[in-house]
Amino acid sequence: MINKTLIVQNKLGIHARPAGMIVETTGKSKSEVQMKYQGMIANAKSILNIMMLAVEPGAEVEFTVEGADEQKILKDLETLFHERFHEED
Amino acid sequence: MNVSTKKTKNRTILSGVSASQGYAIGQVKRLEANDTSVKKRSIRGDRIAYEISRFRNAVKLTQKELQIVKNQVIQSIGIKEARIFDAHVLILKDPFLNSEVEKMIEAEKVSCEYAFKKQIDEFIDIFSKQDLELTREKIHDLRDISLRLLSNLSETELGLDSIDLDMPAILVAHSLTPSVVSAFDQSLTLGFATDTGGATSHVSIIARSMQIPGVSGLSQISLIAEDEDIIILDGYSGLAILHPTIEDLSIYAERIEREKRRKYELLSLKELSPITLDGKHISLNANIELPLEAQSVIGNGAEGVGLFRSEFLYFQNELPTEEEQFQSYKQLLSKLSDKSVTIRTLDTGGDKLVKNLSLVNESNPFLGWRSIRVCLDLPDLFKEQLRALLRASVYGNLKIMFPMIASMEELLASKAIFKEVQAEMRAKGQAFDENIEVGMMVEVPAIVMLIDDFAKEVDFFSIGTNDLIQFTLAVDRSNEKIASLFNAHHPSILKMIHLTCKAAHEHGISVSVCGEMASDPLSVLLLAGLGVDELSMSPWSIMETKELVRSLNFSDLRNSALACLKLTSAHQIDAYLYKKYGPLVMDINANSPIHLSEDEEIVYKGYEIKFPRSKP
Repeated sequence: MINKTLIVQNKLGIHARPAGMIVETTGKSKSEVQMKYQGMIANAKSILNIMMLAVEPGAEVEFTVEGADEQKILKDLETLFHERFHEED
Repeated sequence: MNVSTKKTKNRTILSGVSASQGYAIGQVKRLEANDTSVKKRSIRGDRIAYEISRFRNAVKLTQKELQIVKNQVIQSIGIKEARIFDAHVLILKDPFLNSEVEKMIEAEKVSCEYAFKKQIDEFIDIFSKQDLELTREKIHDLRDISLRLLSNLSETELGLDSIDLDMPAILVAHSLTPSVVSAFDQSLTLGFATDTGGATSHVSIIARSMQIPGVSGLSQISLIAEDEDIIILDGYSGLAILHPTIEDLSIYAERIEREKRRKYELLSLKELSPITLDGKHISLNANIELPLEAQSVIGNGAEGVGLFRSEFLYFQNELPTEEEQFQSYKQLLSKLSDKSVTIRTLDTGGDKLVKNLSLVNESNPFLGWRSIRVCLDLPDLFKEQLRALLRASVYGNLKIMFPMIASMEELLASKAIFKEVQAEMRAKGQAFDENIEVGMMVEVPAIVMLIDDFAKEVDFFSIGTNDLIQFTLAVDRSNEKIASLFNAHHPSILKMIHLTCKAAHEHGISVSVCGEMASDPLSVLLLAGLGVDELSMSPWSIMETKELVRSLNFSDLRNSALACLKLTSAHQIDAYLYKKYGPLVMDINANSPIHLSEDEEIVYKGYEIKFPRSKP
């Protein structure tokens, strides 16, 4: 099991499209992936669950990944956050 | 679902099936569905697994549909705009949502429609309280997905938001119900287009009787058409053209004009009799399924009803009571009191399954427990229908006919039950018409071999060509691979019809043909020549058939039919008929399928097109 806190760097926060991109990353994995934000925990394979968190721009989100490919998934998620979900200006 | 884009929208041709004939050009007005009709419904504990599998199947089906729509949008608008559907699929497959729905079905023992709607509503509630603008926008998508899935669950009939048109429009909806169509404003509804539905649905029957053109089965029109988009409907070929080119518009404007002129010409035939130039009368009747179609029987100048398919009264959740049937028959007979009305007793099975009555999973349904076989096995059900018919008989000119008779025993048993009902009613002093004619369908080839014996037992024959051809040629007409083998002009079919007419006339009874063959122009000529006395067809085919009958000599038709009887293949028969009558038929039949190609010649170039157009 690994933990990592990521910072939301895009301007619009985790709305439907970023949530969808997270699910596209986690959905194919066999690992369990959770997202913690302001004390709430969401299943990171559920787009609706993620959207329910309503993560604001600039916020910190803690990911917990557990499973065979946990390293790879976390790395992919880091890239996604770092690239600001390919958001256009 | 709005796929907003600033790009010019590409011309998109969607192909479906004709729901109601006619053309229309106009602006789209979307009919949005709502889910207020989904109510809490409890299920039995042993139905939980079934309910969950129903839900999972609907999710799969909806996912497939979204994929089709996505491809369509990629082609017509662009790859970027189509991305929205990826998010839709993610929501649809959402593991959290799906497990919550299934948990609720299990814990509360409720239908999957209700559980799904409840869960979606909860998400919508949560998202509507959020601050993120973009998440709130997602509510709209959640609603769309929800409605799409609910409409794929067979038990749901979604309501539609009420429409108040202030200008002529073409209505676009995912699906329509008969009650919604009946409420259409005829003066402002130019036409309608739907994703679902087939040619024989009740929606199309009602639309035809209201003369509103429609195309159904377009699978994704409701997702890509937006309010005020320009659209062309071709209710003959089952096409919809979204964002048409100027060329498309001038082609169809010309067709609308031609159709208008044609309707006007045919109207002059309404009061005239279907008599050949040399004075032979060929009776032209209508095939209908609902009492409300009486209006189109009159409006199209039919002499009567040659076939009322009573089984349509049985296509609801409960079997109809005697009283309900009586009211329907009474309504029909009193509206057409001066015309003869032939009602066929329950013809269930084959491709027409009745809930609570039809066997599913028969390995060969067309040869299975259907039609008169069901009625003879369930005499109480049969008697109920016969009583309703007899009670209604005093309101008009009723004839009764038994379907699918395959043996003398079946005919005699049916007649015996009919006499039993009459005797019971007489004993009770209930009034009915004592002189009702009783006939039978000739649709099982065995009957034709014994046709003389049957001619002595009935008052009329009605040849059901669809089944007769299917059984005689051993061709399942719903199987596309062999559809071309389903040939009405096969010499064996001609001989069978000829034999039936000969036997009937020797015994002084009449012969009607009520299959699809009765409205195909070349077949009409052939049938009349073979000696058929009455043709029964869709109401909207009557005027053109009348025009055809009035333009020919019976003696000539007779000679042609006799010549055809000597030919040995359908190919030769077709060649003979085309050579002799082809030009005449082409000239008259304006409704033959129209092929739309880019290089089609535009006859009326420079036609001025203004929107919105008034209804032709």
